[in-house]
Amino acid sequence: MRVLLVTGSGSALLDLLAMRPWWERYDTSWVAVAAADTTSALAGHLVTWVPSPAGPWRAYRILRKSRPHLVVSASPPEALPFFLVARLSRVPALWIGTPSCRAARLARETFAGELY
Amino acid sequence: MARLLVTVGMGSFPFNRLVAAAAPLCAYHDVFVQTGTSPVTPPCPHAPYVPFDEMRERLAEADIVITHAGRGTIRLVQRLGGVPVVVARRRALGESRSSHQESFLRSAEQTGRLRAVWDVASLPAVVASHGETAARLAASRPLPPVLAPEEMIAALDEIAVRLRGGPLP
Repeated sequence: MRVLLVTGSGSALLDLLAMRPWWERYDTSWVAVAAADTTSALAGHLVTWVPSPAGPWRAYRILRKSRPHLVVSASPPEALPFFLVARLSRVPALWIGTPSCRAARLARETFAGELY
Repeated sequence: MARLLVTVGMGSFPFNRLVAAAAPLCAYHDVFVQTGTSPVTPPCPHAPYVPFDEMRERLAEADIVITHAGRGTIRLVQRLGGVPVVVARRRALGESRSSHQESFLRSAEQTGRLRAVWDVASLPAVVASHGETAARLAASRPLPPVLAPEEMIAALDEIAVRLRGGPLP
C-alpha cells in the first residue's frame, strides 16, 4: 500500500512520527513544510518539500505523481488542499486528531488515539 | 537557581510576549530560550530553533519548562514526568494564525497536568512556587496511557481496510 503522509511542524509531525510502527510496513512518502523540526526529523525519508500551505494545484500534481492508496495528515493547514484533491480523486484520506476541524470533515475517517 | 527552558515552538509566528517575559528570569535562573521568529531576544542563552533530538534532551534536563500552548511540547514534558507552565499564543496579538491555543488551554487547564499562565508578568512568581504546584498537579491529574504499538497498528489497519473497501494492496 502506498501511503502519503502530509505534515507541518510541531505536534502534527510528532503524531505522524509516533505512527511509524504502522506506516513503516508500507510504501511511504512525505509532503512536508520545511522547518527546523521537519528537516531534521525527516532526513533520510522520501520528502516533497512545499511552501506553507501548498495550493490545490500543487497538491494535485503531487498526488498524481505519488498515486497513494491513502493520504494521512494531522496538520490542519497542510492537510486541507491534499484532502480536498484526494476527495475529488476518490483517494481516501485519514485525519489524525480531533474530529472538530475542517480537515476532519474532508477526511473519510478520523483517528484520535494517544500516540505519544 | 533552577534550570529553565522557555520554548515558543517550531511555527513561523513570533511570540515576543513570552520571550520578553522570560528576560527577568535570566538574572536568577539558568535559562535557555528557544525564540522561533521572535525578533525580541533575552539576556541569556537563546536560539531561534533547536534540532529535534537536542530539544528532547533540553526538555529532559530542565527543572521547569515554560512553553507556548503547543500540544506536542506539553505532552513530551508530561511524559518526562514534568508539569509544564503554559502560555497560550493569542490571535488578537498576532501570535498565531488561529485562536486554537487559547481555547485548547482554557479547556486543558481544567483537568490536564499543566499550569496555565494568562498574565506573563506573573511568571517569576509562578516559577518560584512551581515545585509545590507541580507536585500537587502530578499527584491529582493522571495522564492518559499511550497506545501500545500493536494496538495502534491494528486500529489503523482496520481503518485502512475499511477505507480501501478490501484487503490492503
